Amino acid sequence: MEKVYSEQAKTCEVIQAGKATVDRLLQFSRTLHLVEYKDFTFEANLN
Amino acid sequence: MELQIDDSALVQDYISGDERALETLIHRHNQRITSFIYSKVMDRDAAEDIFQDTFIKVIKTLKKGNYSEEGKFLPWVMRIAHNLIIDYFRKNKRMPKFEGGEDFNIFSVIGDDRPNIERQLIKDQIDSDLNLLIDELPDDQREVLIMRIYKDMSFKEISESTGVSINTALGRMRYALINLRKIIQKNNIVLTNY
Repeated sequence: MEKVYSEQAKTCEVIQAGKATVDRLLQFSRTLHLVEYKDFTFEANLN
Repeated sequence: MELQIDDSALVQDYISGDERALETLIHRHNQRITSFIYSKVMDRDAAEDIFQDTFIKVIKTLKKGNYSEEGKFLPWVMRIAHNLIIDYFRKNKRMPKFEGGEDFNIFSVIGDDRPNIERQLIKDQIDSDLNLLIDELPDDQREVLIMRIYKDMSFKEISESTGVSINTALGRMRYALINLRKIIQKNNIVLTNY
């Protein structure tokens, strides 16, 4: 079993998401507002 | 010397409204999560998209207050990424890409190989019956079977997710199948489409 899984270890390229993606996520977070009404939660993105 | 705030404190800060805490979390785990995704999908654009979708889920869950802190922020995010990777492959399987070429024949892609309505009804019935049978299994066996068959996880991933050894996960899968067969035989259930 160990042998089988060790074969998958060949792909090990280190990359990271770009600045644009990170900025988009931070912007999304800043503008996301959740409004609760009774049992519902509404999402509002005030972008 | 700069002190590093641990993830759980940053998560609490973010939930309390500190947006910079999220920025720190993203920067801290960006490389590890994106590389993990890339190692599976082998496509940089897809890896970035999945990374983005992963953190959108993280953000929504944290803001909704649905995250239970157990000091395992990174494994939790990796699990979300893993599920999105599975969705990515499922989606691509449903929408195969065809490259045009001299030998390309449009009729090879527009054929309708879906089962007819009768077979579809039978298939739906079988799926429904199978779900009921799976519900009859002991919890540990059902868990492994669902992860392996429906979530397409490897036994290594199952063992990591459930906290048991690979051999135990394999054993549970084996007993799950044996028990399913027993239930099927005992109740004279026919699970074939054709």
